[in-house]
Amino acid sequence: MNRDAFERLQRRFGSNITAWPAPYRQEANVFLKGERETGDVNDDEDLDRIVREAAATPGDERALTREVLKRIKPKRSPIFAVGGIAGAWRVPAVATSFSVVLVAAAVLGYMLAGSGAEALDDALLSFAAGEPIPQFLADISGNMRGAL
Amino acid sequence: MEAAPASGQDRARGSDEDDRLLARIAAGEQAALVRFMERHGRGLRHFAARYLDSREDAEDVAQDVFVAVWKHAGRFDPNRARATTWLYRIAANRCKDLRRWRRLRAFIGLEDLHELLPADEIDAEAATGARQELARVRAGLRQLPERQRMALLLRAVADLDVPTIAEVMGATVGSVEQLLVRARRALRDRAADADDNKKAMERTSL
Repeated sequence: MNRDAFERLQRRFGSNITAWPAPYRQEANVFLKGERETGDVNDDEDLDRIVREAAATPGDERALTREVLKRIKPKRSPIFAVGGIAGAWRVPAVATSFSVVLVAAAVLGYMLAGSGAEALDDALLSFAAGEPIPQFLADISGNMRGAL
Repeated sequence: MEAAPASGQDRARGSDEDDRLLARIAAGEQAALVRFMERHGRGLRHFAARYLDSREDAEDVAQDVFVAVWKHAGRFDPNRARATTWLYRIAANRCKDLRRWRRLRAFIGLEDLHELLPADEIDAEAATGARQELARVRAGLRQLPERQRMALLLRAVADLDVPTIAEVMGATVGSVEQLLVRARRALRDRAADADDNKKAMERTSL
């Protein structure tokens, strides 16, 4: 740390360096203590200080802030809130009610279609059996007219 | 202004600010999160980078930790733990998860565990000779067992005391003390070996 960096941090965290966050506080203490002595590392504190210096890695802190803010930005809810409906299926009572309504609607629809449904089934079966397309379309339209 | 080491009272002041920031973060205030990141982002990155031996992974961990802080700040209880304890516990767990994941990837052949921190960093330092001591300590850190490395980094980089480190690591105070003693001894032994080698080389070159 040099004088410029120290003063920059002072502006950022205030004049009381003892309340600075750990890495800055430690670096400031080392800076204020003056040039560190070289030689054998006998004291735990000296060794920890060297470990702290050795642990320093370059990095862009603004980039970290930017990325984190990007990740926590609330996502816009989609126009069709499918997610909300899907979430409701997790509640057993809701899932059961929806299932009952769906089954009832299917049964009711089949009953209302009546004989038309059978005719449509026949047309589809004949198409599956390989009847020519025009014949198949005629069958469908005939069946639909019959059903209505 | 004084260069005195932080006393308990001073640390409490810093901790109070963290508590207030976390309360504001829990209320959804982004500016408080930015301030919190300003205070702890750097230390957290250094810790993760040296523990994981990878700058990129450290960036990811730091991001994950602060996103977790944003999401779960409401769960933080200042009466139960200090903010830094809580923060570094999240970071330590995330780092451990990442290491496990990397080991699994290495096991199935998707990743080479030895390609992490750029080798040019060490080479450049060795070549200039200017910061050989730091380079030696970095290499020593790399070779420490994981738990020793974590304990030492939490002590030296995060400036946590032994009981807090024990809380972060989910260990007893005694075992953390042992880890620190062993880690420091290993680094000192390594430094002594390097000095001996250097002297031997100097003798042979004369």
